[in-house]
This record gives sequence, C-alpha cells and structure tokens, in this order.
Amino acid sequence: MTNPFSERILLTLGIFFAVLGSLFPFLWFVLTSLKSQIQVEAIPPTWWPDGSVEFYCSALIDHDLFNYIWNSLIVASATTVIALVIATPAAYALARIRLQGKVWVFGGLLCVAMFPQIVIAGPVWQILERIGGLNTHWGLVLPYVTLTLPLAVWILATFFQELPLELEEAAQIDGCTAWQALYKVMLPLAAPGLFTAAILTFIYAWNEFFFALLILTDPVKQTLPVGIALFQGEFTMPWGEIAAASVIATLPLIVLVLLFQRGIISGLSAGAVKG
Amino acid sequence: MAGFALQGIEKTFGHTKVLQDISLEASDGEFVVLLGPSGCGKSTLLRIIAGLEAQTSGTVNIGDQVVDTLSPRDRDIAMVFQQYALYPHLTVRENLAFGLKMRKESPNVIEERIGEAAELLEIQNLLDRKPKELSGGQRQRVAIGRAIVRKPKLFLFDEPLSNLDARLRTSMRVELKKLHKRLGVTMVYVTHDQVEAMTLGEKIVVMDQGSIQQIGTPDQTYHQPSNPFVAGFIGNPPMNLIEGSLQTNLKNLEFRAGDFTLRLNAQVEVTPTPGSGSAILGIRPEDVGLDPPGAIHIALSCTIDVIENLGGDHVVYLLTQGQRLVARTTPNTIEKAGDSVTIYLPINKLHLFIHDSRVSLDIVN
Amino acid sequence: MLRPTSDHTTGWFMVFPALTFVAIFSLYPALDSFLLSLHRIYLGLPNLGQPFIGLSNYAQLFQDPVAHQAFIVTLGFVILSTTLELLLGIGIALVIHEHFKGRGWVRAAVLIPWAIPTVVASQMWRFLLNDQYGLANLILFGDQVDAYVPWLADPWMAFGAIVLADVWKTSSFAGLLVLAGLQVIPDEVYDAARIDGATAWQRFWHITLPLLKPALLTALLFRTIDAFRVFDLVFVMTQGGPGDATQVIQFYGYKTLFTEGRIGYGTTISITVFVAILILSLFYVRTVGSKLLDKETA
Repeated sequence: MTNPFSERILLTLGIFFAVLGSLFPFLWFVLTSLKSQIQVEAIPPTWWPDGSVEFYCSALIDHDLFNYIWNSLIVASATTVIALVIATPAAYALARIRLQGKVWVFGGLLCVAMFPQIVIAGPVWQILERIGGLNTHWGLVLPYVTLTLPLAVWILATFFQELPLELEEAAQIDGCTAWQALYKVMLPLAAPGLFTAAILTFIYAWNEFFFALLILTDPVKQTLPVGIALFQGEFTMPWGEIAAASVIATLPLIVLVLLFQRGIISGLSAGAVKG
Repeated sequence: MAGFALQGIEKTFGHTKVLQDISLEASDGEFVVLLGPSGCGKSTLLRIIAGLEAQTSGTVNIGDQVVDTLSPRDRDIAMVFQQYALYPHLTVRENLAFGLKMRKESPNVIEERIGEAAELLEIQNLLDRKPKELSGGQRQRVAIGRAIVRKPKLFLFDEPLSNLDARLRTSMRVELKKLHKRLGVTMVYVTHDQVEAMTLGEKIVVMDQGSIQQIGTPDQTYHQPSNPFVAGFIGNPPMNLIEGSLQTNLKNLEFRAGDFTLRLNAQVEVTPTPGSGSAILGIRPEDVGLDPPGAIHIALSCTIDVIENLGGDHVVYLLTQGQRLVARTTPNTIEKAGDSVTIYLPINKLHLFIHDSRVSLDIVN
Repeated sequence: MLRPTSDHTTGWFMVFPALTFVAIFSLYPALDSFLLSLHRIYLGLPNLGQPFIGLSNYAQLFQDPVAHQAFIVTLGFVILSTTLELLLGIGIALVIHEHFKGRGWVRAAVLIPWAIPTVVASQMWRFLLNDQYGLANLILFGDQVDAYVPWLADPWMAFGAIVLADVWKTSSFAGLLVLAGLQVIPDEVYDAARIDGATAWQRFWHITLPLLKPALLTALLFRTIDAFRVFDLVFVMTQGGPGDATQVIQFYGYKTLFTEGRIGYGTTISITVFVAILILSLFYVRTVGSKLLDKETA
C-alpha cells in the first residue's frame, strides 16, 4: 500500500495541466502557420488548418527568413564558442585555485547578471561606434559574450567543484601545471557541464532581442528575434507569416530541449542548489 | 504487542524478481535479523513490511492483522533508517514529537514520552539542538528515540549501524541489545554484518538473491549451516569451502578436489546417502588444529603460506596438495612462513554439502 | 584546494579574459551611464552642449508623473508575475520531481515555453489575444463575433496580458529552481514521515515547504530581478500601451533614451532601476549568497 489513489490522480492532473498549459498556446501558432491565407483571415477563426505551406514559403522567400536564420546562427555560434573559451579557465580558477579577491570576482559576475540592459546599452553603443562594430555581427557578439559569461562561469564552476580533488592532486604529483591539469584531467570529465553551458549560452544568444535591435540596424544583418518583432505586412499584420517564421525560429531550440532536457535541467538547477 | 508473519512474499521490479516466495514468522517480542549481502533483497523486504513498498504477491501480518491494504501510518510500526532520516529543519525535541503530533496526541503525552525516551537514550541535553549539530552516534540515538516515542507494535531497523565507526558500532550493538530487553518489542533488523546478526539476533534469516537460505538461531546457522552460502557467510574468517567430488566405496568416503584428496579413514555414514558426485567440503578455521585433538581426525601435511598475527589469535594460511586452507589458532607454537606443519581436521567438525544442501556426516563405530 | 602560491598567477591569468570583457562591456558602461545621468544631454539638440547638472535629473525623475506611473506598473507586474510564477513553479517542480513513465517528455514540454524566444512568445500571445483572429476570443465566444473582446486595447486587460505571457514563459524556469531544492531533500526523510503518520498534505506542509525555503528564496530573487527588467514582452505586445498602461520602467527608459534622445534623463531612469535591483541583490548576497561563498572556498 504505497501511493494512495488520490495522490496518483493529483499527479496525473498535474501532468496534464502542466503539459497542456505549456504546449497549447504554441501549438495554436503552429496550426496557424499551416493554414491558408483565407483561413487566417477568417472571422471567426477556424480550428483546423488546410495544411498549406504557403506561409512558410512566403516567410522564407518574400520575407527573407533564411537571411535572419543565418545571421542568428553566426552570432549565436560565435558567442557560444568564445564565451566557453573564456569561461572555462575562469570557472576552473574560481573553483579550484585559492585566489584572493575571489569574492570580488564572483560579485562582479553577479552584478553583470543583474544589470538592466538599458543601463549599459548607451555606452556599449558608443564603444561599438568608436571601434566600428555597429551594425556588425562581431560587434554584437562582444556584449553577448559579456552577458552570457556569468551563467557559463556559474555552471562550469559548479561542475568543476563536483569533481574529486584527488584527480588533480594525482595530476600535480604527475607533474602537471594548472593549465595542464585543466586541459588533460578536468575538461574531459566536465564535458557534460560544458555541454550544458554551451546549450544555455546558445539559447540565450539565439533569443536575445534588446541589443540585437539596438546594434543591428540593417535588415541584412539582423537576427531572427529582430526580424520577427518587426515583421510588417504591406497593409495588415501578416500573422500567417509571423507564425511560420516563429515556428522556424523555435524549431532548433525545441530539438535542443527535447534532446538535452536532462542536461539543461541539471545545469540550471545545479547552480541554484548552491545558491 | 505482536509478532508478525510473512506468507509467500514476492516482489518484481520490471523484469527482475527481487524477492522469491519469502515466508517467515516471528513471535511477539522476538529479535529477528535479516542477514545477507548487498542486493539480496533484505531492505526491500523490510520496506514491504513497513508498507513503503507494495509486494507483488503474498501477505503480511502484523499481530493478528492482515496489513497489506494499510499505509505505513496505519501499521503502527516505527523504523530507524540507515542515514537516520532526521528532519533537518527541526530540533531533536521536535523530531521526536513529529509522529505524535501527526497523530494529534495531547501535549502532555508528547512531553512525557519524549522525557522517557530521552532518559533511556541519554539524549536529554541534546533536545534543543538541530541534527546537523549532532555526531553520528547522537543522530542515531535520536532516530531510535523517534521510534520509541511512538510505542509501536513493530520496530524496523535498516542497517542502522553501518554509518558509524567501528568502535561506536560495537558499543551501540550492546545498547541495542539492552534496549530490546528493556522494551520487549518485536524487532526486525536488516544488516549485512554477520557479527551484528550473531550478537543481536534471536532468529537469523539468511538471504541471498531474493530467497531465504536459512532461518535459525545464531548457533544453528553457525554450527549447522544448511547450504554453502550460509556456511561461507557466517563466521570470520569464513569457513574453508572446497569444491570437489565424492567417491564412496565400501563405506570409505574419499573427497577429491584436483590434487587434493581427503580420505575419511573412519566409518562414516552420510545421510542422505550420496552415491558419487560433486560435493562441497567445509571446515571452520578455528576447527583446523595444529595439535592433534582427542576426537577422530584426519591429518594432513601442509606448508605455511602467510601468518596473520592478531595478537590473541593467529590466522594461518596454508597450502596442501594444491589447495588453500585457513586455520585459526592460539599462538603458542613457533611457526613461520615456509614451514611444513601437520594439521588435524576433526571429522565431527567437517561440513559436507551435496547439491548445495547440507548432509549430515555421522561417525559409525 | 591546496595549490602552491605560484599558481596564483596562473589563476589570475585564467580569470583575466573574463574580467576584461566584464570590465569593458559591463562595468565601464554602467559607470559611464551614471556619469551621463549627471548631465543634460539632448541628442537632437547638440548646440545646447552637455552641461553638468548634478543630481537634478534625479530630482526631476522623482517628480515625474510618467515615471511614477512606470514604477507602479513595473511594481505591479513584478509582484503579480513573481507570485504566480512561484506558485506554478512549485506545482511544476512537484510534478516533474516524481518518477513516472515519459517523465522526460513532460519535462521537455514544460521547458519549451522557456526556450522559445521572448519575441516569438510575445507575438504568439499578441495573436492569441487578437480581437479578430485570436484563440482566446474563439474559445470564449465561438461564433459570436460581436462579442469578441479587443484584449490589448483595454488598459487593465493589456496589463493582465503581459503578466499572463510572462507567467506562461517563465513558470517553468521558476519550477527548475524549485526542483533543485526538491532534489536535495533525501527520500528517506519522506519515508520517515510516512511511517510517523503524516499524510501527503502534512508531508508537503511540514517537511517539503520548510526545506524548500532556500530554493524558494533563490527563485524569488532571480525572478524579481528579471521581472524588473522586462522589456522584450512589452516592446512586441503592447509598446507600452494602451496609453502607458503597460509602460514598464525599462521601456520608459528605452523610449526616453533612444526614441527621444534625452540621454541624460534616460540614463537617470536606467540607473535608478539598477539601484533598485542592486539593493535587492545585496540583500540576497547577504542572506543566502554568503553560504555559497563559504562552500566555494572550502
């Protein structure tokens, strides 16, 4: 006599509503993207789509969605790679090396995570203008890396902390310097942490809107969020295309989440536990 | 006050059968130990008795009541967990009071019971501390106290001593024994440590791979193990067990294992009659003597491989005819590694197992 | 943690690039913003110069009715959405903490709102609440087109809409933070409670909730800070309207700074928001974070 019936029902209801609530609004958008123009403009709206892909074609071709996707891909990938390269040694040092002033480093990173975007927006814009980074992808990557560093360092530091100290001690006895210990011993073992940090960084960079809006003014360079936010039709809101573009923009993320939900959850919650 | 009974308990997890046809009984006030290696199913069985797991089939009776449909809270049991499972955010006093509060006992009764338990376990000065401020031994007492205040019909222990250091374990063992005497409640105790089982148990249930190997008193399991598993599990150093084959010709038994031959030069009768075939021979290290005993015995010459000096005892590792044997003796002779010695195996101390069952070896004269 | 002193230099080298980025693109801009807030700067009127005016921008902000309104809207948003997200988050965490078949799928499903770009979610809700084509109207009123409500045109409804959108999007994140707290509670404690006679509700109230306090605090703080900074949602869904019913503080700052070019005043707004968040963060670091640092230096 373990789980009484009432608890089971509660759990099932909980699952039902959690899944329904999470997916339903988005599913509606997906359904919309598969409708035909007439269906979308129908008042009252219809439930089931015709299964037309005209919006996808229109979004991709007329509204140049591929361009936005490509830009997002470049920016997000670059951000992820650079952020990880910088965050890994930093996280290792913070987790394992006795540094004075470590508190300040943590505090600094924490602060960065807390800043409202707008506080740094103006000056960042000015800096980029001065170095010619405005309206360029690399110009956007610079603040992106800065913004994703706290989370990446946090996750990686937590992972490094979990690894047994004896491994590095053995490496030390075997003659490794700190860098060697990091690359040969810790890194392979912290691979899941790296993975999680990479995914979370990628998702952040893919979804970021504020700075992308600010820094990328030429539609040729703009990323997906900007594209979708500024989607304009000639006369009315092109909801069909917006829906289609949204589905396309979200699809890679959904795949990532489906494949790596376990890693994502453990990465996010690991940091929270220590806090 | 009640004993308990299990009939035909089986448990399957997915495709694995974890418990097979477990049936056993305990009388009121008995101290029952479930003994076995990790993975043998003893903890699962305990949890089934507690109601924390549901059995796949079979019935559980506590007292005269069939409890299968009852949740843990209604079975009137108490449990001491391996990691103590104290409520980390409550003080010791609140931990002890928790169960009684859940059952809406009056504050007077709660106070009284806490006082009794605290005195019994000598934790009066710890009542206002939180679990994280306590040592392992203290936490364990609080865990026991939490069980005592409930005055349950059945006490369940899930390897409660395994997280303590060796010295503390020994002293807690004695205290548990005294506690049982004092309270007189039926206790079911799970452990993999055969010393705990032997010292605490009135009835030992030896388990392996989900089934019961033997039920008996400590003496029974020690002197009359019913199969090689029990024989090898109980006793330290473990019983010497040699796998070989048995040949009977003209009432003379001959046991062979590779180069090792043992000829029983007395008249022995084996019940049931074995014929010839594979068998396992056993003898406890303390029964292997370096001096000729009075009883009828077999003598073997061996070489000493290693001697372990335990102070009051010596554990001697021997080699004879390609077979290793372990002996435990008092250190009165001047042996050293490499020496040749003669060992003496009293026939009445030999254990014989055929098809994994004990057969009795009687001297006929 | 026993590295010889020579590794200190290596340690600082390792941290250096990260610190540089943070210094250049985060700390310096924040400082710069603060300095700018002490000047009067109109981007569109360069001939007025950029005089230093001390704290008069802040004085002006203090009396600015639009700013007051923005603060109230933001505060309301923060309180409402954070509370709802925490409650839902606890529910979600409890559900995905249990073991059941297909748990991975349920977890992925619950994570999807979090993974969706905010602008996509905003467009989605905007469409859902559309007065002609919206799902909300379809579900509530079916064929009766005349009864369709223009949700985003009413100040209160619009406010409710951004709260709804935010709660939908981030409850699962709050849930994850709570889940972390749940996972730390040893199962044995629940077993002990069951044997002690606690019902499911009693177990939740007397054991789960008290032990979840640190996780709840963390979730509360992260979500509060994020809620204060809400921008994307408002930009896409309502542009601060109707009127200024959904004009949250960061949107007001954006408008002032980038649309109107009032750099001095705009940065004042942003710094004020930052100070509010900083006070919250310090409070957090004091209470919960100090435990974190103890663990790190162990």
